[in-house]
Amino acid sequence: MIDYLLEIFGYTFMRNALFAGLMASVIFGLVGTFVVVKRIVFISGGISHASFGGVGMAVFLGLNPLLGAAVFAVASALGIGAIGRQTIQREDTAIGIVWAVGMALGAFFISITPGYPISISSFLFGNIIMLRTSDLYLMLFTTLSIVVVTVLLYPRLQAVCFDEEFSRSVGASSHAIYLTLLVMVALSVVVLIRFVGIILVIAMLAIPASIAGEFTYDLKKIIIVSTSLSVLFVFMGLVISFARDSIAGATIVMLAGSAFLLVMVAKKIFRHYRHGKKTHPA
Amino acid sequence: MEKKAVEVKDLCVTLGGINILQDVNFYLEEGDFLWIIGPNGGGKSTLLRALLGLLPPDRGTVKIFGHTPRKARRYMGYVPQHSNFDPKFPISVWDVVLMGRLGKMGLRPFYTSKDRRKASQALKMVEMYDHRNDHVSRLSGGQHQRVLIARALASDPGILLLDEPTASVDQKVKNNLYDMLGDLNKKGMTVILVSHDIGVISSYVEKIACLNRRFIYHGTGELSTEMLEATYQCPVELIAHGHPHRVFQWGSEEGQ
Repeated sequence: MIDYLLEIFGYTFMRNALFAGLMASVIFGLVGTFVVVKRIVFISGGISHASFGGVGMAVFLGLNPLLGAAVFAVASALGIGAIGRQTIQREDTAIGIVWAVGMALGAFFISITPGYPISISSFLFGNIIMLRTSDLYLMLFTTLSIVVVTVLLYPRLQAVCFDEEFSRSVGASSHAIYLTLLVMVALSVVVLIRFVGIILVIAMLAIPASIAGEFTYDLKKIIIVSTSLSVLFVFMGLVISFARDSIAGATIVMLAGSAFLLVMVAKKIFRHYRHGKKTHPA
Repeated sequence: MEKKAVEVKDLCVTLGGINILQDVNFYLEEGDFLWIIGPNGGGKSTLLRALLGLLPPDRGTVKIFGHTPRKARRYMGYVPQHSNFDPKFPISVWDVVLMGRLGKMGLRPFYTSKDRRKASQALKMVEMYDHRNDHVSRLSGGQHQRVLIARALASDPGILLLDEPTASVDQKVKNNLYDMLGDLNKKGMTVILVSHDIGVISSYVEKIACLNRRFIYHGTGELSTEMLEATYQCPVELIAHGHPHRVFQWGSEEGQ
C-alpha cells in the first residue's frame, strides 16, 4: 500500500496535484464555510461559470486563460454584489443570466479561435496534468492571501454573514465586507479551475462545509473540519483517479458527494433510532 | 440647550416607487419611551431604518442627538425582528453579543478585553450570561430576543430601537421584556419600540404614536379611537383595563 502510494506520488504531476489539492482544501474549508453559512452557493456558482467567458476571451486574444477568468470572475462578483444591494432587480434571475451568458461567451470565443487549440472540458472539469509550477505558486499566493484576509476580517465576516443589516447599523462597512467575500470566492474559483474545474468547484465549496456543519455549531470548527474533510477527499480522489485513470476533479467531487449522502442518511437513521427509543421505552 | 434625542422633520421615504412614509414629524427627549403601533406594511420598520441611517430619506431630516443618523450610529442600539434569522446559522450567544461592539472596533481585527467586558455586562443585564456558550438555535423566542437586546446594549447606546420585539413570544415573555425595557428606560435609556401588536401596551410607555404612512402623535401616552381609526382605516373600539390610557385591548381582536 505504502509502496503503491510512493509510486503514485513519485510522478511529478501527481506530486503537483497533491500540493495543489492541499492548498485547494484550505480554500474549500475556509471560503466554502462562509459560502454555505451565508447561503451564497448559487451566487458562487454564477461567479464560477461566468469566469468561463473570460477563459474564452483570453484564449481568443492569445492571453493567459486564468487572467481572463480572473477578470470575469471578479467583475461578476462585484456585479452580483451590486445587484443584491438593490431590491428592484430579482437577484436569482440576474445570477442565472450571468451564469449562462458567461458560459456562452466562453464557448463562442473558443469556437471562433483559429485552430481551436484548447480542450474545453479541461477548464470545465479540471485537468491536473495541466498544472504547472507557476500555477502552484499562484495558488499558494492566493491561498495565503485568503487566509490572511479571513483572519483579519473574521469577526466582521461572521457578523455580516449572520446579520448584514445590524452590522451596517453599527457602522461596520458590511457591504464592503460582503463584496470582499464575493471577491475571495472569485479568486478561489480562478485558482481552482485547473484542479477541479469551473463546474465542479461549487460542489467542493458546498459539500465539505455542509457536512462539517452537521457536526458542530462553531464556525471556526466548521472551517477546520471541512478543511480536514477536503484533504481526505482530495487524497483519496487523487489515488483513485490515478488507479482508474479517471478525471481527478470528478472523482474527488463524487467521493465528497457520497460522503454527504452517507452523513445525511446516517443522521436520519440515528434520529429515527433515538426517536424510537424515546417513544418505545424498553 | 440640550439636544433632542430624536428629531424628525418632514420625513418622506419612497421605496420602489411606493410612498412608505409621508411627512413624518416628531421629536423625543432623552429618556422618553415611545411606542409606535400600526398595521403591517405601515412603514414601521422603514421608519426605524431611516432613523438608523440604513436608507436615505427622499425628503426631510432625521437628527439623533443633533447629528445625522450615520454620524449618530454609536448612540443607537438596533434590535431587529428575531424571526428574520437563519436558525441554523452556526453562532453562539457570546459571538452574537460581541457583534454589538463591531462599531467600536475601528481598524482593529480582533475584539479587545473591553469589548468582552461590555458583552458580559450586556448579557448579565438581560439575564442571559449563563447561556453565553449556547448556540442561538437552542434558545426560545424570548431568550433569542434578550440576546438581540444584549447585542444592542453592548455598544452602550443612548437610544434603543426595537422592531417587533414581542412577535411570536407568549404573554409572560412579553411582560418580562417590557419590565426589562422599563428598567432600562428608568436608567435613562431612550426607547423606541414598533409593534403591530396593540393588544397590550406596556404601562411603562410614556408616548404612543400610530403609523400608517402618516405618523399620528399627540406627544402623550394616550391612544385615542380617532388615532387608531385613522391608522387602521376601519372602525376601532378601545377597551381599557387597569391603568386608563395605558393598557388597551383592541376590540376587534377580542376572542382571539
